[in-house]
Amino acid sequence: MGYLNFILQSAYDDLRRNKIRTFLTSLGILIGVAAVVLILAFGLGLKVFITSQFQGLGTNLIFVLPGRVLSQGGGGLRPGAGTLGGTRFDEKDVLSLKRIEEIEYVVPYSVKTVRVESKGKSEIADIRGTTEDDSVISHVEMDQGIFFDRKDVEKKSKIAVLGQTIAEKLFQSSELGLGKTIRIENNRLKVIGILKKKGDLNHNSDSSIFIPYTSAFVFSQDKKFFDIHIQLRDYKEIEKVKEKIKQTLFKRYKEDDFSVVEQTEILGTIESILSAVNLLLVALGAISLIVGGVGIMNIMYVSVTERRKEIGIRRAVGATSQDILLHFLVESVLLSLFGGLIGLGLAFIIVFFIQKFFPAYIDWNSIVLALGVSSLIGIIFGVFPAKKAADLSPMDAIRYE
Amino acid sequence: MRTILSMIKLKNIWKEYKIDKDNTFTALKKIELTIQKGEFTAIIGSSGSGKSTLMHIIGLLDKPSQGEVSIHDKNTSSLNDFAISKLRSEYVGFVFQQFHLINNLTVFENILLPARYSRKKLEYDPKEKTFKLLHRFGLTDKKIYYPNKLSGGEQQRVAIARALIMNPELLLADEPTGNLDSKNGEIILDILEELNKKDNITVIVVTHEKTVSDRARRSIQLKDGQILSN
Repeated sequence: MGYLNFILQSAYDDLRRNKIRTFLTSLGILIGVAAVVLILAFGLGLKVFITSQFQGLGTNLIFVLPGRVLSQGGGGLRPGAGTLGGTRFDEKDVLSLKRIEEIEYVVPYSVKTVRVESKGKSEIADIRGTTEDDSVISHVEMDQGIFFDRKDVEKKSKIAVLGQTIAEKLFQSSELGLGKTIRIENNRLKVIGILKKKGDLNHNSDSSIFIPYTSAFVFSQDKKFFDIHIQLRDYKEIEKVKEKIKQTLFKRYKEDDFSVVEQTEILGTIESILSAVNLLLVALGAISLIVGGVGIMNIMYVSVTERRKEIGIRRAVGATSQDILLHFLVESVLLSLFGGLIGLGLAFIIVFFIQKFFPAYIDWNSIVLALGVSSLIGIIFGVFPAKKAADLSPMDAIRYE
Repeated sequence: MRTILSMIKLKNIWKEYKIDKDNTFTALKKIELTIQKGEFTAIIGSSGSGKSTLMHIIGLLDKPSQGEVSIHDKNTSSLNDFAISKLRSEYVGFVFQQFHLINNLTVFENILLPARYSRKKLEYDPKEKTFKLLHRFGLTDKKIYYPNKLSGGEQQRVAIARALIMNPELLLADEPTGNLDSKNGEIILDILEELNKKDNITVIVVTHEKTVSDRARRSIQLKDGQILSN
C-alpha cells in the first residue's frame, strides 16, 4: 500500500469510527451542495423552457416595438412589456414596411384586454387584432377549425380564433367551442377555430383571442397597433433589414419612439437576467456551504484535541509534521466531499421527480462545481486545524492525557 | 548491516521549561555524554531528576534549550522537522512506560506504523518483518487484536516490536517495566538484553528500579538535572 493510500485509508477509518458525527458534520455541506445544484438545475431548466417557448413563436423574426427597449440593466424585455413610452403604429407603417424587398411577412398586432362572454360565462382575455400571416410566422397549430384568411381581414369578418385556455374556460372543452358565438363589448363573433396549447410565454396566446385586425378596430377607435412582427426571406440579411426598417420608420418617428430588435437579442437579454438571478440564488446557497465549512472546522479542532496523544505517538514513531498535516487535511476533505456527494445524490433524486413537471436538469458543470467546491471547502476549513495538529510538539502531545 | 558506528554525543546540554512569565525550571544542566554503539546503558535517578527529559533529547523527541546533540558525529541542532523526523524514524526506536500504542489500530497495524511513514525504500518487506516480530515475541495469534484487549506484558511486547520494525540502531526505553508485574517485567528485560547482545542494538533504559539498572553494563546517575556518576 502506497503512502497516499495509507493516508486515505487512515482518514477513512477515522471518519467511519464516528459515523454519526461524520454525518452530522457533513450535513451543512450536504444541504449547501444540494441547494446550489438544485438552483443551477432550475436555472438550466428555465433556460430550456424559455428557449423552447421562443422557438415556438417562430424564427427569423424581427420585432418592431414601441419606445426604448431596456436591453441592459433592468426593466425586463419582451414584446408587449418592458418598454418605455413610444409611439403606436398604424396601417401606413405596415404598408411602408411591406415595401422592403427582403421582408416576407409584416404582421401587426393590436392588443386590448376585454371581458368575453358566452352563454352566461364571462372571462377576461386579450383580443389580438392581426393578419392571416400570424398563423404562418407564429407556427400556429389548430386544435379545432381553421385560422382566418385574407378575405376575412378584408371583409372585416366578425370571427374569432381562441387560444386553448380561454376556450376551455368558456366552453369546458375546445370541441364544444367551435362554431359558437362569443360576445365582446356587445359585438358578436363566431368561433371558427381553436389553437393547440402553446405555452403561456410572450404572446400569452393560450389565453388570447385572435381576430382580423380590421375587425379589432371596433374595439380600438384610434386604429393603432401595439407592435409589428416581421419575418425575413433570408436571416443572413437581418442587420441590413433592421437598418432599412429603422430608416423607414424614422420618416415618421423619432429615435426614442420605437425599437427594432431581433429574437436572439430578446432571448439574450432574458438569459442574462436569468443568469444574474441564478447567480444571486447560488450565492445565497453558498452561504450554507460556508456555514457547513465552519462546522467541519469546528469538529476538526475537536478531533485534533481528542487525538493529541495519538498525534504524539505517530510523531514519535517517525511521522513528520507534514504527515500529520496531510492526515487531518485529507480527513477534512473527505468529510466535506462525503457531504458534497450525498448532497449531489439528493439533488439528483429531487430533479428526477421535478422533471415530470419542469425541464430541470443537472449538467456536468454542476457536478464538477459541486465536488470541486466541496473539496475546496474541506481544504480551506481543514487547513487551520490540520496546521494546529502538525505544529504540536511531539513531547507535549505524547504527554497529553 | 550499517557500517557506520552508532554514537550519540551530547555536548553542554541544558533544558529549561518556562513555568510562568518570570520563572523557569531547569530540567537538565550542562550534560556531557557519549554513548557508543552496542552499549546497554541505564539512566537512573529519582523522580524529577531529569532522566526522561534526557531520554527525549537523546531520541530527538525534544530539543535542548542549549547545547548540541550529535548522531554519528552529525550535529542535529540545525536540522529541520522533516530531517529530525527522518533520523528519528531510521535510527531510534522508543518503548514507553505507558506503551503508547494506538488503540484504534490492530497489533499488526501498530507494529507496521513506523514503516508506513518511512520515505526511504526499505531493503526488506515491512509486512514480512512484522510477521517475524510477531512470531519472535509470541504475538502471532494476537495480530488482529486491538491493544486494549491485550495484557500489559503483551502491549509492551507489541511496543518493542514496533520499535524494531525500522531496524533501529538505538532503542530507548522509558521505564519499560514500570507498568508491569515482576514476571512480565523480567520478560521485557530479557528481550532488551537479547536485542543488545544478539542484534547489537544500542539500548538505553531510563529507570528508577535497581533490578532494571543491574541488567545494564553502564549506569548514568542523574540528580537535579546533572550527571552524578557515569
